[in-house]
Amino acid sequence: MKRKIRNFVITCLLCIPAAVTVFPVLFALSGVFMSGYELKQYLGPVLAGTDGMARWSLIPRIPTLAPLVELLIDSPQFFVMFWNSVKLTLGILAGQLLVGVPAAWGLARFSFPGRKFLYTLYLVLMLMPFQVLMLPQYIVLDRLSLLDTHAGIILPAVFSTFPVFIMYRFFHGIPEAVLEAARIDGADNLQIFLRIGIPLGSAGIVSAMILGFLEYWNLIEQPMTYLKTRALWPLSLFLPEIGLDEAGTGFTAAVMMLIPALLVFLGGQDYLEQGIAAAAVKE
Amino acid sequence: MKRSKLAGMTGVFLVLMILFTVLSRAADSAGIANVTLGRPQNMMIAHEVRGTGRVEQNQERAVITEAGQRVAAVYVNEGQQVEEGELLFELDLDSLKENILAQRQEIRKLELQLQDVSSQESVSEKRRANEQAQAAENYSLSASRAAVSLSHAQENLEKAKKELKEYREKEGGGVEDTLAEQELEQICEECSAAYIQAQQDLQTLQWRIEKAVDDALRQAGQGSASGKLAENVLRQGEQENASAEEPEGEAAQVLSDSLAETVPNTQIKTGSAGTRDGSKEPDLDTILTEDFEVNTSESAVLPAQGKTAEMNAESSDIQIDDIIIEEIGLDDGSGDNGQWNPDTESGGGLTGIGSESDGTENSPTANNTALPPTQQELDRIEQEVRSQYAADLEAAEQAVADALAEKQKAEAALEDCRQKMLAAHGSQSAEQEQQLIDAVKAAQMAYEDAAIAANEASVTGKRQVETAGLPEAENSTGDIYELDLAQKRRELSRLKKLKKAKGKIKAPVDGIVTGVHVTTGEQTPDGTAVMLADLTKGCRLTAEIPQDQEKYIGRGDLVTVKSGDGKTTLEEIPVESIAAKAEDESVRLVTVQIPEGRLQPGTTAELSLTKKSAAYPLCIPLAGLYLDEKNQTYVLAVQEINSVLGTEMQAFKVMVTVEDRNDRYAALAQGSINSSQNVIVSSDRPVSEGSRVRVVS
Repeated sequence: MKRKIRNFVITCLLCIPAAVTVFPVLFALSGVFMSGYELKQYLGPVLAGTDGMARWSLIPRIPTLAPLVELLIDSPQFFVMFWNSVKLTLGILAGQLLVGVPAAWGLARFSFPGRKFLYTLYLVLMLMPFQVLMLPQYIVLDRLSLLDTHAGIILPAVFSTFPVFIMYRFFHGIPEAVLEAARIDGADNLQIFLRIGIPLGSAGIVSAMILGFLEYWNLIEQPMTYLKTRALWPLSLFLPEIGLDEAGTGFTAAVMMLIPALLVFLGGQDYLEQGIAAAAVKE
Repeated sequence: MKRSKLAGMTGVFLVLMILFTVLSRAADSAGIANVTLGRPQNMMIAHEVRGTGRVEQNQERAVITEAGQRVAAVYVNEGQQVEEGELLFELDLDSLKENILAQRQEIRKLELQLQDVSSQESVSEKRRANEQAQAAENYSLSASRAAVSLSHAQENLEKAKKELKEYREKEGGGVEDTLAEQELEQICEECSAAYIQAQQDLQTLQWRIEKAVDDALRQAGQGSASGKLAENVLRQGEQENASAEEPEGEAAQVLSDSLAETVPNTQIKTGSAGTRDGSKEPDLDTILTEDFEVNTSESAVLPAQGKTAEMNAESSDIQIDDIIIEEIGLDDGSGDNGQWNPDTESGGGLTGIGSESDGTENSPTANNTALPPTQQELDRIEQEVRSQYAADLEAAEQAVADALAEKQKAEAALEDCRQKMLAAHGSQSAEQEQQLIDAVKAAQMAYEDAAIAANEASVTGKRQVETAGLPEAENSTGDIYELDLAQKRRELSRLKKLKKAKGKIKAPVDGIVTGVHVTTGEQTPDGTAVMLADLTKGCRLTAEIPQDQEKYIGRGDLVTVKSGDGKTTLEEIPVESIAAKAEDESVRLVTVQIPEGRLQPGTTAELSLTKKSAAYPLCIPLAGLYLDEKNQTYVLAVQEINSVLGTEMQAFKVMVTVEDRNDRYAALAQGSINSSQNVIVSSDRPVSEGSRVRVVS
């Protein structure tokens, strides 16, 4: 009984930060069904400089689907950016699959001189923020004439070290006896990689892909820096374009942008946890 | 949640996104205007002036006949074309004859009325002449009576004095006392004379005041109550006052001179004591004129005029000049020698005393335009005239009172002297002497009364004569009857002509009937019976054009006229006039003369003129010209923009100045755009600055 009371108290206490965490989502959801007039009343003091204090109601007084219709029917720009985001994200993830998985396998399973140094270099590069890499990348992309192209976003991300780091953990955890058995059975290195390494390390691959999806779906700095043509912008740059007059559209766009991430998260939740755990384990 | 389900949801989500992508693209595409671009061209701007109107006749002829005639038949209708001499309508002859008869009777009535008026005027003139003669005669008689009474009184006085003198001589007395008494008597006589003189002056002044009041009121009553006349009266009074201030001796001299001129055969008798100068009492002396025989020709100055005066002349041999003795004496001598001129009185208005009055101020024309004065105005005028004389009147009354006091004082001194003398004589002789003295006093008083009465009779008589001589009010009844008679005779003449024409009214010219105002069986109206459009004077087309097109058409420009049915087209017709429409300032009326016989009056027609301007290097279709909220003109050019949706075309504003335009093209001034710049010249939907457009060609 005493434990039950304690659990209840703890639950209640935890509900407070949970509510705080969930509030932005609820905020955006309620905004989807609000009219422009109501949004101006609530957000006017912040966005339009009208008198009073900004306030918010989670339940719209006059629910309407006008912002949703406007976004879906009257905003082709949204879909251009949506598909740009899809293109960038899938391109990056595909590239990482092609490049990162073998790299992680090689680092985890092959022994060669400088492997340790190389791995450390990977870790260092992984820790470097974008602001540090921005200028070198810009110069390199400019020389390669990749500025203002999607390739200029995709290629640097394809060679990101973070998924290698995640997958390295999973590939490294495969028992050597399994690989030895395969070799005895006559499998060469490629077969071992394809037939044993990838299936056994799929959790790590998926985990890296999910983490990568969440990161690149919300990519904002690289497009802002390297993309001048608005037609190439991803969805993450759609919201900054929104003003108070299109606040409803903005909330709707935010919710729409959340849906793919939510689906991916729900589908790969366990992989995600494993990946985060792998990243957290120190060798 | 199962992964397969999530994968399904992801798939659905993606499919929906694809679907909405297509939908939004389609919706967006449908909202973009399809525009046509064009470059400004070098061309001329043609201005077409076009207006419609109705062909009208240049002149209308009104067919008028006598009003009130019964119409027997009407032979024309509106719109019918008639030739000269063609029968329009016919009057009923029986009715016409009756009207002629009635007209003759009217004429006869007027002739009789005219005779009556003439007869009445003749009788009235005779009666007035009689009245005037009667007044003059009465005045003559009363003046003569007064003169006789005065003469008798004077004789009695002389006699009484003589008796007293003889008695005293017989009785004997102190020479000193007698001399003293004579001196006192002399003083007493002088005082008495002065009293009489003052009394006469007062009466004369009162008469003059009344006369001035009457004159002013009469002239005001004749419709001349204006300020000018009142001022005239007042000025006249001032003039009299000024002249009245002249020394009496001078006035008397003037009087004597005037009398010598106007009444040469009048014998002036000095009625005062021998020590006095006769010239000092001109009024009294003149009043006491014994001989009233005057030259008949002098009667021409009687107030009556013309025949009346002539008729009166034989029955009244009286010199009426005497009745204005006082005016002569007081006049400044610049007039007509004191003669009272009735002509001046009647013709010049207010001139009775001061004949030097300004004729322009008293002109009858000015009088005729004034309204009759109200009673208040009359009272005011009378008050003003009286106030002019108030000071003189008061002075005259004071003079009478002073003279009376002096006289009484002198008489008292004389009485004392005589009482002393009586006391020195014996009681019997004293009583007898006292009786003689009383007789002298009584005679003296009688003489004074007679003198005053004579003056009063003179003044009263003058007024009566003048009143009788007042002109009568104008009577224009006879003239009006004569005018009516002439008009009736003219009407009769016209009716006779109608009868002679058997009541047939014919068209005076070739024309088209535009109005028929007579109806069979009804009477002809008092105005136009039939209105004709005179075809001999030609036709004109008056077309309406908007005011803003006025600058493209001028007098003498050759226009094309096309009839409403399109059958007739007239080329190169010169514009006769362009004028603003009276009812609507935004419309101009363009008039052209239509050649004879080409278009009939009443036809609608269109007038058109095309005038080309000089060549302009930058001309665009009018659809490509826009007007902003400040009424400034601009065109929309297109530029490529880099948007989320890719490269798109967007319209932007270029302000331009329009040099000329017509209903299709506008010529732009050089500077803001050039001939190589594409501008939007057409669009399938409204385009504004910033609009995304799709260029279709």
